[in-house]
Amino acid sequence: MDEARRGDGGWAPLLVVMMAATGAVIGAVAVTLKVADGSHPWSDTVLSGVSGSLFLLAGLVAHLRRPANRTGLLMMVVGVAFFAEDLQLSTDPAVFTAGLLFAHASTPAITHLVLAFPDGGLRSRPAKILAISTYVVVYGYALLNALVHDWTVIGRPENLLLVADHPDIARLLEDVLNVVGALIAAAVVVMLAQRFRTAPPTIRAALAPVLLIALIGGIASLAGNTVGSLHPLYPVLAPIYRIAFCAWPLAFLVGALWTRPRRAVIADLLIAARRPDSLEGLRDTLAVALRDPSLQLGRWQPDQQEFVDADGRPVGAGTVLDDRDGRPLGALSRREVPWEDARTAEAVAALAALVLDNQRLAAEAGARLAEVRASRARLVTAADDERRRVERDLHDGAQQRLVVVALGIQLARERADDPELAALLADTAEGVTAAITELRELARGIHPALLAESGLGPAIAELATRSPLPVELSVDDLPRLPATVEATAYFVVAEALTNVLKHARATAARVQLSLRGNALSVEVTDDGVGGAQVRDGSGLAGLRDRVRALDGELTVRDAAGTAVVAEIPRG
Amino acid sequence: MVELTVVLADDAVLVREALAGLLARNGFHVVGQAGDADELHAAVDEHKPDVVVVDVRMPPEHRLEGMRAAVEIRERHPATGVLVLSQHVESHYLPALLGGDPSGVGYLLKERVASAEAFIDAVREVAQGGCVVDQQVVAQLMRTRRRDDPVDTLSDREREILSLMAQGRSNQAICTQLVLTKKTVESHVRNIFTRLDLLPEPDDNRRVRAVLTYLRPWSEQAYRAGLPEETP
Repeated sequence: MDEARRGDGGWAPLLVVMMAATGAVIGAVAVTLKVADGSHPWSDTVLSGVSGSLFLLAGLVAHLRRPANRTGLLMMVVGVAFFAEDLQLSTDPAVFTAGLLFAHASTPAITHLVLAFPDGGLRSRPAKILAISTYVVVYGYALLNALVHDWTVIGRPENLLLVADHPDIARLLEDVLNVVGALIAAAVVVMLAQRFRTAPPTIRAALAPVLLIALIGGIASLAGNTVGSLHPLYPVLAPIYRIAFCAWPLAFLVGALWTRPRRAVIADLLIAARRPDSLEGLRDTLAVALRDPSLQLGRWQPDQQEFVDADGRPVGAGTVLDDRDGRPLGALSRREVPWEDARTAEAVAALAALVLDNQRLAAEAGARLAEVRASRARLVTAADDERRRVERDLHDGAQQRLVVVALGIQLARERADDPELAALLADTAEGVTAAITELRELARGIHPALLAESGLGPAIAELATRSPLPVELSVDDLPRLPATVEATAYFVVAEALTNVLKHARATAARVQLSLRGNALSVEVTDDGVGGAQVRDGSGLAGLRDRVRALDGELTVRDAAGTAVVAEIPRG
Repeated sequence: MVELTVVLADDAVLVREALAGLLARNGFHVVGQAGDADELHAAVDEHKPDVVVVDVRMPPEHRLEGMRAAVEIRERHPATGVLVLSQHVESHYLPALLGGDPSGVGYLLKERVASAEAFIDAVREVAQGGCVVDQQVVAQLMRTRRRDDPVDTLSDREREILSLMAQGRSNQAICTQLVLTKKTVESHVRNIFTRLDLLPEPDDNRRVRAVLTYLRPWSEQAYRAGLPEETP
């Protein structure tokens, strides 16, 4: 919404007051003249006074309700012009002459209003041309006619603009006016029909009452003119036209107010805004709430420096939506801007901005969380790789060297003649053997070679073998899983079995491994005293961190004894 | 005594040379040495040795190349004994190694080479068609407990004898080691087979297999799975 339309403008209130005052004065004059003239039926006088006043009043209301929209002003212009037409009834030459110029003043004003409704602006070039040509034709005709038409011959006041009386030229002008007027009227009808057909529902709903009443009035007027004023139906048809004309300003008002986004729109948007929704979802919500399917919503793309909709198409910056710090978030672009008041439009924009801001924050938080998760998983993987490397180094480095040392001692023993020395060497060899054994246990604790070589099933079976407690195994035929997943499951079982031994006072344990959907399920249960917990700093707490780093969960609960359950996504 | 021929396979040259020296000094003829599985197969094809001593871990992956080569040699050269030296106490690969006929096969922890006599005995045993399983591996199997484990019903002496049986010792050897009469040992062995519901096996090697099968801690399926085919 650009600033010029949003603000009231310095001159607008004054203009409105002046126009209302002028309208009232001219209206009073017109009605007085009509009554004084005496040739008009009483009902006609009343109805035309009412319809002119209604245009003025409805226009005023519309303008006060929605100062940003020019429709109100245009309606008031119609009212003033309508009354001005009756100035020609005056017996005063000056007023009469002025009245001649305004003889058909309501026609271009009404054309302008209808073409500009309900936006208040002439949006297309044909509409502009049509409106302007109506003004030109009507006022041009009035002026030219005034130059060549002398009314004194029929008892009217003196025409101050008269150059010379030329009835033939006046007739010619009238013929031209009728033809051009018919053409313009046809063009207006075509344009309105076209507009009604292609308009979005909001616009259509606003146009419908206006066009309907115009249709009724038009038909009544046409029929009346066709049958003539002497036909018995004429007294019926004429009031229909008059009453329709009275109802017209109300139709404009109703249509205009209908297109106003109601407060319910804000409620709808608020409810919709509670859901963390997509850009497309927000667009749909706005389109439904504002009854404008053509509405486009773009999100600001800092990389491209433009607003882009859900399908990646650029969106023109209609209303730019800012975040709290004034940075652009997105843009609302609407082909048709129906009659909206500034406050509602601002509220809708603020709400849309809020939702967009939330979506952006949620997306950022999500991305950051994903990054933290990924890096956590990478840390675990890196640690595992390091453990495996250390394990291999121990086996292929230190252990091999110790074997060579043991063989060297063996050789020395064979050559030692001194029995004491031989005994000493035998002891040493035993020590080296013990060192090799310890080294093997150490290496296994760091990372079991069997796990890397043969997978989880055999490694868990081996764990069960080594446990002094009877361990019942229920291991599915597992495929090879990512090394980190296998290692995590292995360490969970190892730690759980160690805990069973240390604390549970159990007589047996049971280990279950199965693939459930996309996760490896690990369950270690015992028949002991239970009451196990994941305490900070304990082995299980460390393992829970590890499991969670892989997006899994580890829980400890009391079953018959204790159950340690881990669900690890298979990665 | 006939000189037994040996092919040694270990990627650590120092270990290999030291073992070769040890075996040579103890009456073996080391006919070939190999640093990886391909060299080992070539040497075995060429020399058809009485026994192969092979390290589990060999290039390129340093994982199970030696074990896989050992299983292949047992298939292709039934007359050649295979003694696997392992850094691992895990008994997971035993079934694959022992196969259907546990003769001329052995599985020792690598540090056993530090005790010359035991190592030389083991090589000789395997070369002559015997079966040797490392005592520590057997000890671990013996530790394995199940609910209602019949092993619990055995006496300490019987458990001791079961452990020696699993290592491939004959009744005679058990008599000597435990200083018992042959009759006593035979009575214990009968008792063990009865308690464990095993058929008495006269042949030492089958006896090993029977005992190991009984002691297995894993499911039959996992037991049969044996060596993984792929190199992970």
